[in-house]
Amino acid sequence: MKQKEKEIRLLMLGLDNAGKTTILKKFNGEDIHDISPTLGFNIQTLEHRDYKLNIWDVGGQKSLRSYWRNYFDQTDGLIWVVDSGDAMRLKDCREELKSLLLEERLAGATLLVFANKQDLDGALRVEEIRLALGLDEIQSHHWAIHGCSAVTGKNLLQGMDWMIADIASRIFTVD
Amino acid sequence: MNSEISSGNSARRSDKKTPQSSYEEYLKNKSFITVEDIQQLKEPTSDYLVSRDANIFGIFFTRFCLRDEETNKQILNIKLSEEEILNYPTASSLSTDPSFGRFIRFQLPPSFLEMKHIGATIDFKIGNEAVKCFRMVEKHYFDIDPLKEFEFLFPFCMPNSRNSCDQIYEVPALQVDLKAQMIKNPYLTKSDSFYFVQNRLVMHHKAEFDFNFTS
Repeated sequence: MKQKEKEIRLLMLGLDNAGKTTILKKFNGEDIHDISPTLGFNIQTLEHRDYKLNIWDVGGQKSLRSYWRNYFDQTDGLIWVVDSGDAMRLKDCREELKSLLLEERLAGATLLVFANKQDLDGALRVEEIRLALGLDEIQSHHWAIHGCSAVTGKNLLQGMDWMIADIASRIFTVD
Repeated sequence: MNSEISSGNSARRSDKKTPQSSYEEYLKNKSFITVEDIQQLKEPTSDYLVSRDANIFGIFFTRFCLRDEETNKQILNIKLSEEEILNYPTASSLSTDPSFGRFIRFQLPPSFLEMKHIGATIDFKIGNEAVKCFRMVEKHYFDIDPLKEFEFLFPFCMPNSRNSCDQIYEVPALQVDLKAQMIKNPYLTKSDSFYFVQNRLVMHHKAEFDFNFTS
Protein backbone atom coordinates (compact mmCIF):
# COMPACT_ATOMS: atom_id res chain seq x y z
CA MET A 1 0.00 0.00 0.00
CA LYS A 2 1.25 3.42 -0.96
CA GLN A 3 0.26 5.55 1.98
CA LYS A 4 -1.83 5.20 5.09
CA GLU A 5 -4.34 7.90 4.23
CA LYS A 6 -4.83 6.60 0.69
CA GLU A 7 -3.67 9.65 -1.13
CA ILE A 8 -4.28 9.88 -4.86
CA ARG A 9 -2.56 12.41 -7.09
CA LEU A 10 -4.42 13.50 -10.19
CA LEU A 11 -3.04 15.68 -12.97
CA MET A 12 -5.56 17.60 -15.06
CA LEU A 13 -4.39 18.77 -18.49
CA GLY A 14 -5.90 19.78 -21.81
CA LEU A 15 -5.86 22.65 -24.28
CA ASP A 16 -6.63 26.15 -23.01
CA ASN A 17 -10.30 26.96 -22.53
CA ALA A 18 -11.21 23.26 -22.17
CA GLY A 19 -12.72 23.92 -18.73
CA LYS A 20 -10.16 22.32 -16.41
CA THR A 21 -10.40 24.89 -13.65
CA THR A 22 -14.19 25.01 -13.91
CA ILE A 23 -14.31 21.22 -13.49
CA LEU A 24 -12.05 21.48 -10.45
CA LYS A 25 -14.12 24.21 -8.81
CA LYS A 26 -17.47 22.61 -9.62
CA PHE A 27 -16.31 19.23 -8.31
CA ASN A 28 -15.26 20.97 -5.11
CA GLY A 29 -18.60 22.76 -4.80
CA GLU A 30 -17.16 26.22 -5.39
CA ASP A 31 -18.47 29.18 -7.31
CA ILE A 32 -17.61 28.89 -11.03
CA HIS A 33 -18.22 32.47 -12.10
CA ASP A 34 -15.24 34.70 -12.84
CA ILE A 35 -12.80 31.95 -13.69
CA SER A 36 -9.92 33.39 -15.66
CA PRO A 37 -7.34 31.52 -17.74
CA THR A 38 -4.89 29.63 -15.54
CA LEU A 39 -1.42 31.12 -15.90
CA GLY A 40 0.27 28.58 -13.69
CA PHE A 41 -1.36 25.87 -11.56
CA ASN A 42 -4.25 25.36 -9.17
CA ILE A 43 -3.93 22.67 -6.56
CA GLN A 44 -6.90 21.33 -4.69
CA THR A 45 -6.82 18.77 -1.96
CA LEU A 46 -10.11 17.21 -1.05
CA GLU A 47 -11.51 14.22 0.75
CA HIS A 48 -13.61 11.99 -1.44
CA ARG A 49 -14.93 8.53 -0.52
CA ASP A 50 -12.18 7.79 1.99
CA TYR A 51 -9.49 9.03 -0.35
CA LYS A 52 -7.47 12.18 -0.14
CA LEU A 53 -7.39 13.57 -3.66
CA ASN A 54 -4.61 15.88 -4.62
CA ILE A 55 -5.63 17.44 -7.91
CA TRP A 56 -3.23 19.53 -10.00
CA ASP A 57 -4.83 21.69 -12.66
CA VAL A 58 -2.16 23.17 -14.93
CA GLY A 59 -2.74 25.94 -17.48
CA GLY A 60 -3.21 24.78 -21.08
CA GLN A 61 -2.16 27.76 -23.18
CA LYS A 62 0.28 26.86 -25.91
CA SER A 63 3.13 28.79 -24.26
CA LEU A 64 2.64 26.84 -21.03
CA ARG A 65 2.47 23.31 -22.44
CA SER A 66 6.25 22.86 -22.47
CA TYR A 67 6.09 23.15 -18.67
CA TRP A 68 3.59 20.30 -18.25
CA ARG A 69 6.40 17.75 -17.90
CA ASN A 70 7.39 19.37 -14.62
CA TYR A 71 4.18 18.04 -13.09
CA PHE A 72 4.28 14.39 -14.23
CA ASP A 73 6.00 12.84 -11.20
CA GLN A 74 3.90 10.57 -9.00
CA THR A 75 0.77 11.03 -11.05
CA ASP A 76 -1.76 8.25 -10.39
CA GLY A 77 -4.33 9.53 -12.83
CA LEU A 78 -4.34 11.86 -15.82
CA ILE A 79 -7.55 13.77 -16.52
CA TRP A 80 -7.56 14.99 -20.10
CA VAL A 81 -10.19 17.67 -20.61
CA VAL A 82 -11.62 18.32 -24.08
CA ASP A 83 -13.81 21.24 -25.19
CA SER A 84 -16.51 19.33 -27.08
CA GLY A 85 -17.52 22.55 -28.82
CA ASP A 86 -14.07 23.14 -30.30
CA ALA A 87 -14.04 20.88 -33.37
CA MET A 88 -11.38 23.07 -34.97
CA ARG A 89 -8.69 22.11 -32.48
CA LEU A 90 -9.43 18.40 -32.07
CA LYS A 91 -6.38 17.48 -34.13
CA ASP A 92 -4.19 19.61 -31.88
CA CYS A 93 -5.90 18.01 -28.90
CA ARG A 94 -5.20 14.52 -30.23
CA GLU A 95 -1.52 15.29 -30.83
CA GLU A 96 -0.98 16.72 -27.35
CA LEU A 97 -2.64 13.73 -25.72
CA LYS A 98 -0.67 11.32 -27.87
CA SER A 99 2.65 12.80 -26.79
CA LEU A 100 1.63 12.68 -23.13
CA LEU A 101 0.87 8.98 -23.38
CA LEU A 102 4.43 8.38 -24.53
CA GLU A 103 5.82 9.93 -21.36
CA GLU A 104 7.57 7.41 -19.19
CA ARG A 105 6.59 9.14 -15.97
CA LEU A 106 2.91 8.86 -16.89
CA ALA A 107 3.22 5.25 -17.96
CA GLY A 108 1.41 3.87 -14.93
CA ALA A 109 -1.35 6.48 -14.83
CA THR A 110 -5.02 5.86 -15.48
CA LEU A 111 -6.45 8.11 -18.20
CA LEU A 112 -9.84 9.77 -17.86
CA VAL A 113 -10.99 11.84 -20.83
CA PHE A 114 -13.68 14.37 -19.99
CA ALA A 115 -15.62 15.44 -23.09
CA ASN A 116 -16.62 18.70 -21.46
CA LYS A 117 -19.24 21.28 -22.44
CA GLN A 118 -21.83 18.66 -23.43
CA ASP A 119 -24.44 21.25 -22.42
CA LEU A 120 -23.50 23.43 -25.45
CA ASP A 121 -25.62 23.34 -28.59
CA GLY A 122 -23.56 21.79 -31.33
CA ALA A 123 -21.18 20.03 -28.95
CA LEU A 124 -19.62 16.93 -30.45
CA ARG A 125 -20.96 13.71 -29.02
CA VAL A 126 -18.78 11.52 -26.82
CA GLU A 127 -18.49 8.90 -29.57
CA GLU A 128 -17.27 11.51 -32.04
CA ILE A 129 -14.57 12.67 -29.66
CA ARG A 130 -13.55 9.12 -28.90
CA LEU A 131 -12.98 8.59 -32.62
CA ALA A 132 -11.32 11.94 -33.26
CA LEU A 133 -8.81 11.41 -30.45
CA GLY A 134 -8.14 7.83 -31.53
CA LEU A 135 -8.77 6.57 -28.02
CA ASP A 136 -9.45 3.01 -29.14
CA GLU A 137 -5.83 2.72 -30.22
CA ILE A 138 -4.60 3.24 -26.67
CA GLN A 139 -3.21 0.05 -25.20
CA SER A 140 -0.66 1.50 -22.83
CA HIS A 141 -3.10 2.91 -20.27
CA HIS A 142 -6.38 2.07 -18.61
CA TRP A 143 -8.72 4.68 -20.07
CA ALA A 144 -12.33 5.82 -20.24
CA ILE A 145 -14.17 8.74 -21.76
CA HIS A 146 -17.06 10.48 -20.05
CA GLY A 147 -19.18 13.27 -21.47
CA CYS A 148 -19.70 15.97 -18.89
CA SER A 149 -20.62 19.56 -18.23
CA ALA A 150 -18.54 21.52 -15.76
CA VAL A 151 -21.25 24.19 -15.70
CA THR A 152 -24.11 21.91 -14.68
CA GLY A 153 -21.86 19.40 -12.96
CA LYS A 154 -23.34 16.55 -14.97
CA ASN A 155 -21.28 13.34 -14.95
CA LEU A 156 -18.30 14.85 -13.12
CA LEU A 157 -18.84 12.52 -10.20
CA GLN A 158 -19.28 9.44 -12.39
CA GLY A 159 -16.05 10.18 -14.24
CA MET A 160 -14.07 10.80 -11.07
CA ASP A 161 -15.49 7.71 -9.39
CA TRP A 162 -14.51 5.55 -12.34
CA MET A 163 -10.98 6.93 -12.21
CA ILE A 164 -10.61 6.53 -8.46
CA ALA A 165 -11.92 2.97 -8.58
CA ASP A 166 -9.46 2.11 -11.35
CA ILE A 167 -6.52 3.66 -9.49
CA ALA A 168 -7.53 2.10 -6.20
CA SER A 169 -7.71 -1.36 -7.75
CA ARG A 170 -4.12 -0.93 -8.92
CA ILE A 171 -2.39 0.68 -5.98
CA PHE A 172 -4.39 -0.09 -2.85
CA THR A 173 -4.79 -3.79 -3.39
CA VAL A 174 -3.03 -4.80 -0.16
CA ASP A 175 -5.98 -3.99 2.09
CA MET B 1 -12.98 39.27 9.63
CA ASN B 2 -10.25 41.68 10.38
CA SER B 3 -6.61 41.76 9.64
CA GLU B 4 -4.12 44.52 9.54
CA ILE B 5 -1.07 44.43 7.35
CA SER B 6 1.63 46.34 9.13
CA SER B 7 2.93 49.45 7.52
CA GLY B 8 4.96 51.19 10.18
CA ASN B 9 4.91 48.94 13.21
CA SER B 10 7.22 46.04 12.86
CA ALA B 11 6.77 42.76 14.68
CA ARG B 12 7.04 43.15 18.43
CA ARG B 13 10.48 42.13 19.43
CA SER B 14 11.23 40.53 22.68
CA ASP B 15 14.27 41.97 24.46
CA LYS B 16 14.92 38.96 26.62
CA LYS B 17 18.05 37.04 25.72
CA THR B 18 17.41 33.38 25.16
CA PRO B 19 19.75 30.59 24.16
CA GLN B 20 18.33 30.98 20.68
CA SER B 21 19.64 34.53 20.22
CA SER B 22 23.17 33.48 19.40
CA TYR B 23 21.91 30.78 17.05
CA GLU B 24 19.86 33.40 15.20
CA GLU B 25 22.96 35.59 14.88
CA TYR B 26 24.85 32.64 13.50
CA LEU B 27 22.09 31.99 10.95
CA LYS B 28 21.93 35.61 9.86
CA ASN B 29 25.64 35.49 9.09
CA LYS B 30 25.45 32.33 7.00
CA SER B 31 25.61 32.81 3.24
CA PHE B 32 22.28 30.98 3.03
CA ILE B 33 19.90 29.32 5.47
CA THR B 34 18.50 25.82 4.83
CA VAL B 35 15.43 23.91 6.00
CA GLU B 36 17.71 21.92 8.30
CA ASP B 37 18.89 25.15 9.94
CA ILE B 38 15.30 26.25 10.54
CA GLN B 39 14.37 22.89 12.03
CA GLN B 40 16.59 23.76 15.02
CA LEU B 41 14.48 26.78 15.98
CA LYS B 42 12.35 26.14 19.05
CA GLU B 43 10.82 29.56 19.64
CA PRO B 44 9.81 32.59 17.57
CA THR B 45 12.77 34.45 16.14
CA SER B 46 13.44 37.91 17.51
CA ASP B 47 13.93 39.30 14.02
CA TYR B 48 13.63 38.36 10.36
CA LEU B 49 16.38 35.95 9.37
CA VAL B 50 16.69 37.31 5.84
CA SER B 51 16.26 40.77 4.38
CA ARG B 52 13.48 41.47 1.92
CA ASP B 53 16.15 41.51 -0.82
CA ALA B 54 16.65 37.78 -0.42
CA ASN B 55 13.44 37.26 -2.40
CA ILE B 56 15.27 37.26 -5.73
CA PHE B 57 12.48 35.28 -7.40
CA GLY B 58 9.92 38.02 -6.95
CA ILE B 59 7.49 35.71 -5.17
CA PHE B 60 4.54 37.34 -3.48
CA PHE B 61 1.22 36.27 -2.07
CA THR B 62 -1.91 37.72 -3.57
CA ARG B 63 -4.58 35.97 -1.52
CA PHE B 64 -4.93 34.12 1.76
CA CYS B 65 -8.19 32.52 2.72
CA LEU B 66 -9.18 30.34 5.67
CA ARG B 67 -12.33 28.31 6.18
CA ASP B 68 -13.76 25.89 8.67
CA GLU B 69 -13.67 22.63 6.75
CA GLU B 70 -16.56 21.09 8.75
CA THR B 71 -19.05 23.90 8.05
CA ASN B 72 -17.40 25.25 4.88
CA LYS B 73 -17.73 28.71 6.42
CA GLN B 74 -15.17 31.31 5.42
CA ILE B 75 -13.21 32.69 8.36
CA LEU B 76 -10.83 35.01 6.61
CA ASN B 77 -10.25 36.27 3.08
CA ILE B 78 -7.39 38.66 2.45
CA LYS B 79 -6.88 39.57 -1.15
CA LEU B 80 -4.82 42.07 -3.10
CA SER B 81 -6.75 43.87 -5.83
CA GLU B 82 -5.53 43.56 -9.43
CA GLU B 83 -4.15 47.07 -9.14
CA GLU B 84 -2.28 46.21 -5.94
CA ILE B 85 -0.89 43.09 -7.61
CA LEU B 86 0.32 45.17 -10.54
CA ASN B 87 1.95 47.74 -8.27
CA TYR B 88 3.32 45.34 -5.70
CA PRO B 89 6.86 44.83 -7.03
CA THR B 90 7.39 48.59 -7.30
CA ALA B 91 5.80 49.33 -3.93
CA SER B 92 7.91 46.63 -2.37
CA SER B 93 11.18 47.89 -3.82
CA LEU B 94 10.41 51.48 -2.82
CA SER B 95 9.43 50.68 0.76
CA THR B 96 12.11 50.99 3.41
CA ASP B 97 9.96 49.27 6.05
CA PRO B 98 11.66 45.95 6.91
CA SER B 99 8.20 44.50 7.64
CA PHE B 100 6.62 45.53 4.34
CA GLY B 101 4.48 42.69 3.05
CA ARG B 102 5.74 40.22 5.61
CA PHE B 103 4.13 40.97 8.93
CA ILE B 104 0.46 40.51 9.58
CA ARG B 105 -1.85 40.50 12.58
CA PHE B 106 -4.90 38.27 12.43
CA GLN B 107 -8.06 38.79 14.42
CA LEU B 108 -9.99 35.57 14.70
CA PRO B 109 -12.99 34.44 16.74
CA PRO B 110 -12.43 32.24 19.83
CA SER B 111 -14.25 29.45 17.99
CA PHE B 112 -11.25 29.25 15.65
CA LEU B 113 -9.43 27.35 18.39
CA GLU B 114 -12.10 24.63 18.34
CA MET B 115 -11.78 23.86 14.64
CA LYS B 116 -10.33 20.48 13.75
CA HIS B 117 -9.83 20.88 10.03
CA ILE B 118 -9.00 24.16 8.41
CA GLY B 119 -9.05 24.75 4.67
CA ALA B 120 -6.44 27.25 3.57
CA THR B 121 -6.12 28.79 0.11
CA ILE B 122 -3.09 30.75 -0.92
CA ASP B 123 -2.57 32.44 -4.26
CA PHE B 124 0.88 33.61 -5.24
CA LYS B 125 2.74 35.15 -8.10
CA ILE B 126 6.17 34.27 -9.43
CA GLY B 127 8.67 36.62 -11.11
CA ASN B 128 10.44 36.30 -14.44
CA GLU B 129 12.26 33.09 -13.63
CA ALA B 130 10.97 29.59 -13.03
CA VAL B 131 11.07 28.51 -9.38
CA LYS B 132 12.07 24.98 -8.51
CA CYS B 133 11.34 23.32 -5.21
CA PHE B 134 9.38 26.09 -3.51
CA ARG B 135 8.85 25.00 0.07
CA MET B 136 7.28 26.51 3.16
CA VAL B 137 7.88 25.58 6.77
CA GLU B 138 5.60 27.45 9.14
CA LYS B 139 6.05 27.25 12.89
CA HIS B 140 3.38 28.35 15.35
CA TYR B 141 4.03 29.24 18.97
CA PHE B 142 2.27 30.46 22.04
CA ASP B 143 4.76 32.81 23.66
CA ILE B 144 7.90 30.68 23.35
CA ASP B 145 6.22 27.26 23.29
CA PRO B 146 5.88 25.45 19.96
CA LEU B 147 2.26 24.61 19.03
CA LYS B 148 2.34 23.11 15.55
CA GLU B 149 4.03 23.20 12.19
CA PHE B 150 2.66 23.37 8.65
CA GLU B 151 4.39 22.68 5.36
CA PHE B 152 3.89 22.78 1.65
CA LEU B 153 6.14 21.97 -1.29
CA PHE B 154 5.73 22.85 -4.96
CA PRO B 155 8.31 21.13 -7.15
CA PHE B 156 7.95 23.66 -9.97
CA CYS B 157 6.40 27.08 -10.61
CA MET B 158 6.40 28.56 -14.11
CA PRO B 159 7.96 31.95 -14.78
CA ASN B 160 5.48 34.83 -14.48
CA SER B 161 2.87 32.41 -13.24
CA ARG B 162 -0.04 32.90 -10.90
CA ASN B 163 -0.70 29.85 -8.83
CA SER B 164 -3.21 28.75 -6.29
CA CYS B 165 -3.14 26.03 -3.67
CA ASP B 166 -5.97 24.86 -1.50
CA GLN B 167 -5.11 22.46 1.27
CA ILE B 168 -6.85 20.97 4.27
CA TYR B 169 -4.83 21.14 7.47
CA GLU B 170 -5.51 19.02 10.48
CA VAL B 171 -5.25 21.09 13.64
CA PRO B 172 -3.96 19.34 16.74
CA ALA B 173 -6.30 19.56 19.72
CA LEU B 174 -5.16 22.13 22.27
CA GLN B 175 -5.46 21.85 26.06
CA VAL B 176 -8.33 23.83 27.58
CA ASP B 177 -5.96 25.89 29.75
CA LEU B 178 -3.78 26.74 26.80
CA LYS B 179 -6.75 27.86 24.73
CA ALA B 180 -7.87 30.13 27.58
CA GLN B 181 -4.38 31.64 27.75
CA MET B 182 -4.32 32.20 24.01
CA ILE B 183 -7.63 34.05 24.14
CA LYS B 184 -6.56 36.07 27.16
CA ASN B 185 -3.28 37.19 25.59
CA PRO B 186 -3.84 38.77 22.19
CA TYR B 187 -0.89 38.54 19.80
CA LEU B 188 1.14 36.28 22.07
CA THR B 189 0.30 33.48 19.62
CA LYS B 190 2.78 33.90 16.81
CA SER B 191 4.09 32.25 13.71
CA ASP B 192 7.23 32.28 11.63
CA SER B 193 6.80 31.28 7.99
CA PHE B 194 9.98 30.32 6.21
CA TYR B 195 10.01 30.02 2.43
CA PHE B 196 12.74 28.20 0.58
CA VAL B 197 13.69 27.83 -3.05
CA GLN B 198 15.94 24.83 -3.62
CA ASN B 199 16.63 24.71 0.09
CA ARG B 200 17.72 28.33 0.46
CA LEU B 201 15.70 30.68 2.60
CA VAL B 202 14.32 33.44 0.38
CA MET B 203 11.49 34.84 2.52
CA HIS B 204 10.62 35.03 6.19
CA HIS B 205 7.14 36.18 7.21
CA LYS B 206 5.78 36.75 10.68
CA ALA B 207 2.23 36.75 12.00
CA GLU B 208 0.52 37.37 15.33
CA PHE B 209 -2.92 36.19 16.35
CA ASP B 210 -5.72 37.54 18.47
CA PHE B 211 -8.60 35.17 19.22
CA ASN B 212 -11.09 37.69 20.61
CA PHE B 213 -12.72 38.78 17.42
CA THR B 214 -16.51 38.92 17.54
CA SER B 215 -18.60 39.78 14.53
